[in-house]
Amino acid sequence: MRLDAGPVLRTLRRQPAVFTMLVLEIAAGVATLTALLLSASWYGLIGAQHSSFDEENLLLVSSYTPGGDEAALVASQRADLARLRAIPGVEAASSVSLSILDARWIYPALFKSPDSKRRAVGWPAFTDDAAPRTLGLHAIAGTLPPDAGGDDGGAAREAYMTICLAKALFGSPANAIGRFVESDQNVPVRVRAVVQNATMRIPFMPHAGCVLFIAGGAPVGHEAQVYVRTAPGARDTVQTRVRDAFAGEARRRWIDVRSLDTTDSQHVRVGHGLAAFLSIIGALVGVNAQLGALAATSFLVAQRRRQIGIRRALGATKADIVAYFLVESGFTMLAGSLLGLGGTVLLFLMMRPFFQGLAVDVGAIAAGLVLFWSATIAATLVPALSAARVPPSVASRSL
Amino acid sequence: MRLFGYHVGLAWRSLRRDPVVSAIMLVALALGNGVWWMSLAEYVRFSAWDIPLAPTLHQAELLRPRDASAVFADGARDNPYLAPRAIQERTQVSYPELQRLQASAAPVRQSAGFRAEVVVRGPDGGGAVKIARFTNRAFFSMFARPFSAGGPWPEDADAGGAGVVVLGRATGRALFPRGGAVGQTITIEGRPFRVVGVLAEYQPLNAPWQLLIIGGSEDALFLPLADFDALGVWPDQPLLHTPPESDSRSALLRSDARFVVSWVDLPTPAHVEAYRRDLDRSFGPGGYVLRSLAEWRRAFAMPTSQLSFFSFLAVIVLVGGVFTLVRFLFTKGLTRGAELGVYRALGAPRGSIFARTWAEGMLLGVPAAVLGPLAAQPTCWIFNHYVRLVDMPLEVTAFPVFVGIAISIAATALGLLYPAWRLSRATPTVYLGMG
Repeated sequence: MRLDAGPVLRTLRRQPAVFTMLVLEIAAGVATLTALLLSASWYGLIGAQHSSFDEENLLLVSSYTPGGDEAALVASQRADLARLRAIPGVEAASSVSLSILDARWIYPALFKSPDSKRRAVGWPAFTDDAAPRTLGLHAIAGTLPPDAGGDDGGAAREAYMTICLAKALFGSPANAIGRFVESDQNVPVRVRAVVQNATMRIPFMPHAGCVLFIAGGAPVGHEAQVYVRTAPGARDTVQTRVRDAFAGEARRRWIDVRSLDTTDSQHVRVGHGLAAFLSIIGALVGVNAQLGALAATSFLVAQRRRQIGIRRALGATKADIVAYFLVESGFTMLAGSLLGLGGTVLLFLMMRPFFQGLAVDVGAIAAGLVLFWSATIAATLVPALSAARVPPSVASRSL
Repeated sequence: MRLFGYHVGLAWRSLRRDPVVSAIMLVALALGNGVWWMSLAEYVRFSAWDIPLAPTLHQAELLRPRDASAVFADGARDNPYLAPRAIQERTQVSYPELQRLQASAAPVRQSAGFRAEVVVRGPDGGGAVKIARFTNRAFFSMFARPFSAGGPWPEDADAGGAGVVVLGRATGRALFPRGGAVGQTITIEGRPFRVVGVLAEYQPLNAPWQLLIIGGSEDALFLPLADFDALGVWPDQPLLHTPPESDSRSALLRSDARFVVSWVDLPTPAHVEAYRRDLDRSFGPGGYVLRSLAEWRRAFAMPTSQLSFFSFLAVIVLVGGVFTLVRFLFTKGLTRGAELGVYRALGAPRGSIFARTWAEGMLLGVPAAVLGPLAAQPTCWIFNHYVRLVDMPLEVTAFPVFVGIAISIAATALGLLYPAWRLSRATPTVYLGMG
């Protein structure tokens, strides 16, 4: 088998319009396919995010209590907390206003500090002094509030923030200690500690790991969320006990008890669903482009039947004919892919504002190219094998 | 025009000469059109283009001095994550501002509304937390919401206490899967409410009556605005500007937190003038901007988002499909150069070659465009079953089908002008020389 580029280049020069269009088509296909795979990869990463808490031993108890009496609502929520803390197997329980399992669209806050010119987008989570123990937070800088175990409702007292927010507002965790932070959603509170990053909103939301935990000051409302830390390995047992404890109130209130299991959450389902969906769309785009290429290549082969017959009469083997078409296809693929990668760069720059944290995923780009190359080779092979079957006698038919 | 049938016949014979290749081309184009159509349908669902609204609808944007979160709106235009909130800040008003807006008697129709979560129990007794829209009867006619059963509550129910409710489409189906919801009683916040109507359509994601509830579920049920206080529920996601003086509901309602959307219908210039005079009295001249529906749509265009990006990709796919067809016809024309040369030498004018090539392309392009929505059905099904972003599924409705097919055919017709023109240009001798 001879891989001779000369005849191929001459053919390409003879029909520049057709091959220019083919190159542009491949470029558009490669750029679109890689952009789809990059976005699929981004959604896949979203679907892989978890809260960073010890989910094996955490429950989330959400409740909604009808009624307009605010004092009664506050009393009911405090009573719930006390009942939960008293259930055997519960090590700690905390009221926290945010959860990664809450799929509703809620807007973030814009945090600012009189001690810093910076502003940062993040999430205020109203909670209590037991939260560090319940959630397993540990101080990176400063000290966390002691969990006295008493009634810790009331006005906002102080706060602790995640590393992400501390860096965005003050440059480093150490600089955040002792500073005051306020936003459109909370009064000024003093930062006493910086803790590890924890995802408290569905990861589709911006800066889901930038959180200000505020001890006290939770707005009164019908809804309440309580995180419950169970004894190691006792999550399922405690879940049953909690459900039993609140079963008698199902007619009056709405209560949901579930494990803090992000593998079963909406962002995982939507993230993985979109990743798969976009991959399917990418595959359709690839198939669409290759079917078009297959149809057009079939005509090019038909056009060259006499030329192929002459080559066969002059000694070219079937493999030489197939190789000829593959080399021709390779040239256009190479040119189209290079142009397409340029297009991918442009699309990547367009995507970045909408896909927070989007990174160059070499694997996705390589997968796009490999898929496109494989499909193109397949689309070329079908007419090329047909061309290889042209007998040398064809050369004399139209003479 | 009288030769139209003749050219189409020639084009059809040309396609039938290579039936397999023609079929492959048709499938390729239909798949491309399927991807394009799906993206368009999602965009239409998002944007509410297909809801016919009266051009006489108006909304007043209240202008406020810079405050604690003004920077949020200032820098938000370029930030796709913050842009929705910036738009909501400008299209929503606070509860006290609503009272002042409603004091005007100039509008022929007024609709104010907001969302709140409520506990709903159906006939089977099972409870769920749902999003209710508290609004008035005029809402349903102002925003052209069709009913599948029943209708809006009577006018006197706007005063509150009538115990009536309208169900959204998904909620109606969930609570009464066998139909017959109208006249039944459900429990909301522990109180009985009689169902008077069920909506026929899902709402758009970016509903004009409350912009950019992106990522949220639809309004599950509708209740008279006056019942809001009696039920004691809290507004959903108020946009806080300054933290309220206390954590209580009453403090929130007194605060500058924005969560209400207010629309008015001003059918004549006289109505507009009268409303302006009232606004001048309430908010001072220059304290507001009154916009007609068209002006409002320009001012609050949907911000660019991931959906915009995917729509852009879909346009590339559509253009790519046209490009593929163009190249296919061009290649086909070149390979049959000798045949076309003979045709020209026998007296066929350039227009004839042009018309035949163009018609051949359209014979592939038009069926492919029509098959596009059909080809998209498997992906629609996957989207609705495995992605399911919100409780409003992506549906095949007339508007995106018509617009998708029309745009696809128009793009194909335009694209085909090039190969038709190129193939008709060459002289008969050049073609004969290729033989």
